[in-house]
Amino acid sequence: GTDAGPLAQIWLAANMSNIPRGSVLQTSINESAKEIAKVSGCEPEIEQNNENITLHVSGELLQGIVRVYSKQAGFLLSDIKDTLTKITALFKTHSRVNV
Amino acid sequence: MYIQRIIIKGFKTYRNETIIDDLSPHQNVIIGSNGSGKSNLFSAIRFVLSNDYSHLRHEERQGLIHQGSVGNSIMSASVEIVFHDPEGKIPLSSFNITPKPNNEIHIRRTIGLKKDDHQVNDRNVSSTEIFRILESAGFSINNPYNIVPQGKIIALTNAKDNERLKLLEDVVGAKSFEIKLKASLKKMNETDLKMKEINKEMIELKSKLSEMNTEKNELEKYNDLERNRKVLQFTLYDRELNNILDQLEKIDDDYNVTFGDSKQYMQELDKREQVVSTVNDSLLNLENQLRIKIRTDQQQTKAIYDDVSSNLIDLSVKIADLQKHVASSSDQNKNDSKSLEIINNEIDARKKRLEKLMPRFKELSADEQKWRFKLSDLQQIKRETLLKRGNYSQFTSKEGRNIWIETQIKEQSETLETAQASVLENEDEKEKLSNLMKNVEEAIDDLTDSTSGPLVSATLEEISDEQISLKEQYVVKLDERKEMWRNEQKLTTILENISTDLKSFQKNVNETMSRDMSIGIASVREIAEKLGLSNDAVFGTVGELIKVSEKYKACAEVVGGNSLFHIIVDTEETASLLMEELNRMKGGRVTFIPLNRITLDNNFSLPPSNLEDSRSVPFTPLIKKIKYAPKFENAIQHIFGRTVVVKDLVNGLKLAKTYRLNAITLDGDRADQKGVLTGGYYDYNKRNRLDSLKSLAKTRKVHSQTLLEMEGIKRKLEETDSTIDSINDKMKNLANKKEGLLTDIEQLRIRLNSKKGELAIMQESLDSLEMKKEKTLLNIAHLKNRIETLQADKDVDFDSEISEKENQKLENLTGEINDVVNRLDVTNESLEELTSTIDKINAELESKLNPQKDYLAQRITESLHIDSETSSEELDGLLSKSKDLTYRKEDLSNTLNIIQKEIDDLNAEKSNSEKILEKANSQQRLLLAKIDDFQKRTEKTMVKRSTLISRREELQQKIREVGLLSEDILNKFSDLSSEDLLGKLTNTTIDISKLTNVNKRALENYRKFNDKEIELENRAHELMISKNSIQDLIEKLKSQKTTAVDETFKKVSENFVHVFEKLVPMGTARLIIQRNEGLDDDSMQNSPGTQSGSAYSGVSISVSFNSKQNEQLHVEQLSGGQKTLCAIALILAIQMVDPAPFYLFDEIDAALDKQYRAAVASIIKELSINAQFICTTFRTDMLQVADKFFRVKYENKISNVVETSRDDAIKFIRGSNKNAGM
Ligand SMILES: Nc1ncnc2c1ncn2[C@@H]1O[C@H](COP(=O)(O)OP(=O)(O)OP(=O)(O)O)[C@@H](O)[C@H]1O
Ligand SMILES: [Mg+2]
Repeated sequence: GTDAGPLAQIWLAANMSNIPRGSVLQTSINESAKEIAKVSGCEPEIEQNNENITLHVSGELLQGIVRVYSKQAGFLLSDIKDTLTKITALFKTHSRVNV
Repeated sequence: MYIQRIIIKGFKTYRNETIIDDLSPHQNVIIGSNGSGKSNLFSAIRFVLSNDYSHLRHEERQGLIHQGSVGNSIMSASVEIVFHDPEGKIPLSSFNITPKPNNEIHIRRTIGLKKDDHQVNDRNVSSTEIFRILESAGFSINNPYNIVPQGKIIALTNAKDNERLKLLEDVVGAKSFEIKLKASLKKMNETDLKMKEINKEMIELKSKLSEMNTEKNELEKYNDLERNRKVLQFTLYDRELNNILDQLEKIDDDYNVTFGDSKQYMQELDKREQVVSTVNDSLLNLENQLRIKIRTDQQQTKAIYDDVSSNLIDLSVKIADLQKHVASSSDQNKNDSKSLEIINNEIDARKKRLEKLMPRFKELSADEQKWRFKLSDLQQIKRETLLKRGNYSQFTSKEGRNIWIETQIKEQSETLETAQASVLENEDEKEKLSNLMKNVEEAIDDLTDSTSGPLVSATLEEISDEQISLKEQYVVKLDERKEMWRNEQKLTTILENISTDLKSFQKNVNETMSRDMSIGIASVREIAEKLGLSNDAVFGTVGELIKVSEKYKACAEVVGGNSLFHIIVDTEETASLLMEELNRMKGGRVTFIPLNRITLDNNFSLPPSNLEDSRSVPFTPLIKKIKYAPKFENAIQHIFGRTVVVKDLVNGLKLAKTYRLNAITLDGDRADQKGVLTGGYYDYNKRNRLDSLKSLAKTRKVHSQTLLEMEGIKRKLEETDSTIDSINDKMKNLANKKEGLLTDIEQLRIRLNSKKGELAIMQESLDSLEMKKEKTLLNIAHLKNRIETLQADKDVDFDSEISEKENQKLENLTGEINDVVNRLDVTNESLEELTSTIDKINAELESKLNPQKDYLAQRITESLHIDSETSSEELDGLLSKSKDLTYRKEDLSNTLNIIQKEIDDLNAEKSNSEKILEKANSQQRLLLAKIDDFQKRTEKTMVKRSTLISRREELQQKIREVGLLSEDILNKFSDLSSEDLLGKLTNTTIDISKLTNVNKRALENYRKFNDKEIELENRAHELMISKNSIQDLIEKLKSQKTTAVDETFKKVSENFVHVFEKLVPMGTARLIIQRNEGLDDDSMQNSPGTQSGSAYSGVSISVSFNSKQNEQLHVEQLSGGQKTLCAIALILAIQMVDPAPFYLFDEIDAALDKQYRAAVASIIKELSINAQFICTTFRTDMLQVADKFFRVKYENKISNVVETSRDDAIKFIRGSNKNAGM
């Protein structure tokens, strides 16, 4: 049901074991979270004309969004580490040149 | 979404593949006898769709796989459930499963004793994955309330309160939500750790970046200084370069004018020179051609022409003779044939006549004999009668007469005996004679065979064939010999020409060296030949053994000098041998280079050829341009190895000094390692040394080749001569053999004729013997007759008188004799006449006609055999030969004309060439003088120019080293004087040397990593926001869950009341939710959802069956049927809130009475509009409201399912109930 909607990425993340890096980084957690809250019926002030999704699906989506978030953090960490390694390597070669 | 099809195979009682197709999306009923396999069908569905059968042990697996009779066992069971899912409730794409056509989803499970596989649309999936897939479509896997196995309906009612709560929570999805929430929270905590680490690393990154910033600033300062220095350097170099360029331009202008002129002259000179040499060559060539044409071609062709002409005349004479001969012989032949025909006719006529006469002759002969015998008989009788009368008359008594008769008889008997003996003798003789004849006949056959049999004629033919072929060979060989003679003649002329050339080349070479040397070289050649030294011992002069590319020839000549005439030999022994001999014969002086002694001094090395700095001078090692056989390497290196060819002498001198080499220009000017320069005008004539040596060697080679060829031809001529002789011998032998053979045949033929004569004589004597025998036999008969008569007379009475009868008899006898004599006469006459005719004819045949015929026949065959065949053949041969010769003659005369014309042409060309040569030579002298002048002038300017050029190149290189500078700063210092510039440059260099430790890449690195840092920081920030929003979401969802549970409870319990009342109109029931605090009688209606999910502890049921107000009972207090009703009500109530995809009810109405069964049936009917039901029953109530009916049959312990109609189903139920006695 949720395949084609704005939460498609999240849904896939919940169900797939491996999510491509590109789609992980592109996903905006903030907006997705708002969307999930909306479709789960947590915002009664915003009237949903169609039925809310079941708790089951909400759980599924929650798990998905957390996975994406965790992946993002993982990628960021490794990127930072990468950059640091590069810089360190650079300092090393540079000093070698000058000696 | 509903079950459309079930395919079972090998599962429990379903041994064979069983397909239950086209299930209704509404209500389906399955009927069948007890134990037929209905429950097995349901358990098959659970096997796939619930986790009741997960983690199977060995025995459990065996319990599921069909177990038939021993030996017929099945190893695996599979169940496939096909859903029709048009709304796409199962999210296939999330699981990477390809959809099937018609919105079908195939879920299959297969087990064996070892395996357990799940497949969705033919893709293998794990068991956990299949539960995730089913769960995502809203299945309750753990505790499915929609599948009610047989006898389990009551268990639902009997469930504990908290179990029922769990079921309800499951319906809401709260349970799965809780699990996922927990997992999510755990993951959040993990990620928090990561976030901390991120912060730490970011701080580190920032500190690194500031470090880079410092470096960057330092670099910028350094770059400024560096740029200034470069601009200063550039300005200085640029000024000097411009100055030099001006000077060079001036020199080049001067030089170009001079050079342009001289070049023109040089080119002209080259051209002339080429013209002279080509004209010279062509003149030589022309003379040679002329000589060959006149001496050989023309003469030979003429000779052949004469030869052919005389042959042709001979041939025509022969042809005329032969034609005459052929004509006459054929005339005679014709005559002979005609005569032969006439004679043959005559012979035939005679023979025919003889044939006609023969029967008559035979008849007459027979008659004659008959009459003769008769006559002699009669005469005998008469004589005897008369004799008898006379004899008997002398006797007086019977006794006397009889005594006489007795003696007579005795006499006669004796004669008879002798006659009989002679007959026998005759027989013997005849036999002997015929044996002899047989032998003679055999001999005749043999002789005939050996004179004219197939063997003899074959041998003769063979000999003739051989003779013909030999004659052909002979002619061919003769022609060959003639051709060879011609070739020999031609080669002789060519050889003469070459010898002349050789002499002239030798002279050329000798002119370029001292007399001593030229004599020496010639002597060495002579000695080598005399001593039989091979080409591998004395190789020849250096000049002959090398090949120099055209451009470098002059250099090689100069460098080589007299070394070009040194003779290369293999060892010093050879050299000393030659030297000794030279001394002995005072044969001039020669230098030898023995290959085994010559060593290479590696005391120098060529400059590296890839020098690219400004000091390098372009050069070519001279040795690289010389080609020679590898074995001469050392010798050639020794002479040329140290020399390099350079463009100009100044650079050459530099090279020579630096590398201890000799340098030479293309013009032959030299510089050696000690700095000595040699050069100037070079005698043009001497330049030809190498070429002359080369031509000499080449001509020498051609000369010896031609000599070889000559020898070859001579040898071949000898061979051909001997071949011709041997053919002649063979032909003679053959003729002898043939003659001998013919003589032999002639002798045999004579013997044959004599044998034939012998045979004829024998035949004759045989005939006469026959005749004699015949006579004797007659005599014998006669004698016998006489004896008989005598005997008879003995008995007759004695009577002195001849009886009347006797007289009468005598008279008769006489008459008879006369008569016979007459007849004999007549016959004799005719016979004689006939005999004489026959004799005459025979005589004609034998003596005249037959011999004539034989003679003619022989002559004809002979002439046919010999004359006509051979003559006409020969004639044909001669004619075609004459034709060939005529053509040949024509050809030859044409050729002669052509040759004459060619000679004329060549002569014309020759005189023309001579004229051209004369003119070219005079022009060349003029040019040479002019060129000399130019050379001296240019040399001076070239030295100056090359110095300037090297400085220019140095400067350009330096400017290049300074590198590219931007246009706007180039002119920054152009106002300053050169001294000021130098001062500034020194200062700048000092400043730069202070900044020793600059990172050249600092700028670029800083830029790159600064950008990266900004990006990373942004991401970290965003991540913080994300974290907050997720936490926010979790809170919201938690409260949402509570709300949902509450709401569901509310709806379910409302529905429960409603459904129950439908089932039991008299009664009432409700669900009661129990709180953790222990307020267990607080009903759902009274407590709208304000508590959290964990606030409940259970759900109980309160029920009353007979009154709406009466006492409320707890479930535990109900009967089995009542419990069943409660359970059904609960299931159906849940169904209304959270519809499951399908419901499986195995005999849920078993415990109900008629009224309730009908109520359940009708409520199911109502619900089946929106949900699929598959039920089993033994009652008709449900059948009344169902859409589809299936019956399970159980045969041979194997279940099978067939679709059936409502009526048949009802009939079956009624029937089986009756049977069961109900
Ligand atoms: N693995 C197996 N291989 C062969 N037969 C089996 C296997 N497991 C069970 N059965 C047979 O299946 C039969 C039970 O079938 P099932 O329970 O489906 O009958 P039913 O139609 O539901 O009968 P009832 O009307 O009594 O409920 C038994 O006879 C049992 O021997
Ligand atoms: Mg059963």
